[in-house]
Amino acid sequence: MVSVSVGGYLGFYTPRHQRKFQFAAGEGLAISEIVRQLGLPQAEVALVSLNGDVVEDFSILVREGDELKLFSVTDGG
Amino acid sequence: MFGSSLKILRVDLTNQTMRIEQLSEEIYRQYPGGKALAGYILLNELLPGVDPLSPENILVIAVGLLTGAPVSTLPRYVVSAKSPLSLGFGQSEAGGFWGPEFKLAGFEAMVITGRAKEPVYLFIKDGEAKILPAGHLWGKLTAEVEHTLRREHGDDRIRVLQTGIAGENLVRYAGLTNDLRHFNGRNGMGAVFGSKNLRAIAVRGNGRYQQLAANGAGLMEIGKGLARRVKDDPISWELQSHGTLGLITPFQAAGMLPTRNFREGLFEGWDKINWDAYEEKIFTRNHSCYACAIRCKREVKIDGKESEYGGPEYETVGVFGSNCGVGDIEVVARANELCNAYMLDTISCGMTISFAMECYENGLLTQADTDGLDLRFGNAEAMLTMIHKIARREGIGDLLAEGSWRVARKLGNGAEDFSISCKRQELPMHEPRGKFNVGMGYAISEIGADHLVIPHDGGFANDQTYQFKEGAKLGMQNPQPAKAFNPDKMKHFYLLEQWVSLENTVGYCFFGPSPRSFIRVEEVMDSINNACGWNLSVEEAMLIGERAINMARLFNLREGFTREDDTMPKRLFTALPEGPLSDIVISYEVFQESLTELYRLKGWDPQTGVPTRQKLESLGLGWVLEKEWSRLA
Repeated sequence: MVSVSVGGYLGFYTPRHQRKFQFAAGEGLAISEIVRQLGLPQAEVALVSLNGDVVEDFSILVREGDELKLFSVTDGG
Repeated sequence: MFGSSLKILRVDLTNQTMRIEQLSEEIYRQYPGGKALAGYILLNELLPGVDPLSPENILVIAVGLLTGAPVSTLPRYVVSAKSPLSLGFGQSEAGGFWGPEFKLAGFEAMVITGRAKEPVYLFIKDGEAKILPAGHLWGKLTAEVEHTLRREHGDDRIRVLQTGIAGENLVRYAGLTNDLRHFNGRNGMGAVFGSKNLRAIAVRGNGRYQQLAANGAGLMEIGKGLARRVKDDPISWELQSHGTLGLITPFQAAGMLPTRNFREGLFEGWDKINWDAYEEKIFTRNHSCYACAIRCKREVKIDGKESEYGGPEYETVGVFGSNCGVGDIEVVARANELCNAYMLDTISCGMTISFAMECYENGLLTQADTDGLDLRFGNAEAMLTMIHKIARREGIGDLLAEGSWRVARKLGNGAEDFSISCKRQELPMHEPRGKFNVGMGYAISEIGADHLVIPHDGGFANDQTYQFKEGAKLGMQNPQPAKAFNPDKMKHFYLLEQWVSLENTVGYCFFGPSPRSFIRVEEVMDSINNACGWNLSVEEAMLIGERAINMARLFNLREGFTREDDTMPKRLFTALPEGPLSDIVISYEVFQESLTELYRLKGWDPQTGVPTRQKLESLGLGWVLEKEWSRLA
């Protein structure tokens, strides 16, 4: 399974405002597909962390055991 | 009516006299409260070169055009004076309830001059004011002062703005609090209170904002609509859900969580200070400012008892947590409570302690200097002890009460590189190496390092984001990534800075208007125009913001600031040692080119940063030219 978490105001868009999910990756699942399945507007996904590395390419495939974190913009205040 | 009583309360503490002055609508239309009105008064009345802790300094407290309107995110007021920390334009905003209460007591601003012979406080009620003795309040923690004043006046609804023991002791980063949990933290305005022997200003107002507004019913409708939308908008929903505490986790993931005095961007104890830890260990409930439906503030319990001082926000968690190497949210909550009881700015206090920790680890301070404290990063008890010492100016606290910049110059031997400050004010908890325009904001801000100059980079990276679409209404073009400097980003900065300056003038919280938050540009304009009836356009509103920026700039130029002051500390021009940002370096040369471009956009001399004659005249600031040009040119 792939462990997925969402942070910032992306949690607004997910079912019941859940923040943690498990996805079966099979042969590999594109980050953009996970974003789509969670109902997140991709334009608002400002930061993607895959296994501790920041990635910018939404076509990257995640694999079983990966940890994916998705965040909205981190503004001040 | 146009949203203001136009009344300024003038208080001369030396002679113990007061009078009320009436502004003209013509002047108010150019300087409609807050930052703009404070700048106008200071530039007109304060002589350059005065000691900020002398009786000659002038304190201005001003609400905005919209402060106190029955609409979410409109509680703000500004406190302004020459800053004892930066020695430049001092400006610090706060929310809470004091600003609306002052406005509804019948005033737009207060100008406080001189110095009382003995400690005093002011009591203002519905258009009348008194200067009263405060000897019995001197030396007391802020909660005791608030309780005492409410009890003595027999009114629990009195709103108290006050400094604390830190302000009495002239700590250069002493702040002000209202309702014990809303803060004019930055720039040392509490020390200016202390220098005037002024401990507090208690206010009670029974007016209604609608009586001041051109169209009070229209404003009510806007207020109701926004209150209904808070839970249906992603940004306000997030602010209500997590306040500002949702930032720790993404900053750690991005490698930009300020750690050990900005030496690093990753903190091993991040999950001991993030929202999950906060919620599990200290959170009790949400709290609000005046008329605001977001309720982003947090109340907390410490040792099982609800704190009288509210809960720490992100800045405080960052500065006493990762930045001092302390991975314990309960310790952070105690540090927050101590600072608020003494009334220290948590940012400058935490950053001065982390500076001292780095000096200690590098042998520039020893246990002989630190009163025996083992002041290494992560020593929570030493950190808490240091807060007491600074507020009371005891032992090494007397030195650290001067702020990191001054201590660094005193220590020498490389300590200068450990003071992470701009214009002598310590950095907030946002890492410029991950969002370059935040660094530009730190550098160019007239008040020294400040994270609320513009909405932060990251939301303007593509043309489909909500932030960019709202920015486009202000004239923004060409999306840009966070980690870049180029002419388009300077144009973004130029426009956003004017808009935020307008917010600080009319009374908005940073969490109200877009692009940062959920109130659309046209809703902001509708609110302003329902209040004042002037039918202002976005362009005219931006001009008000730009005028206020230019006045603050002129204030600093009079004080001798130059282009050399518009920079970041050396450390921020180097790469972080590890993590996602370890390959990012902000080039000093590119930074300087961008600064030149920004000066050009602002209508300032591209080399010196002095506003041109033409620019000042176009902003209606010709009167400054006549007064000051020979000094500035």
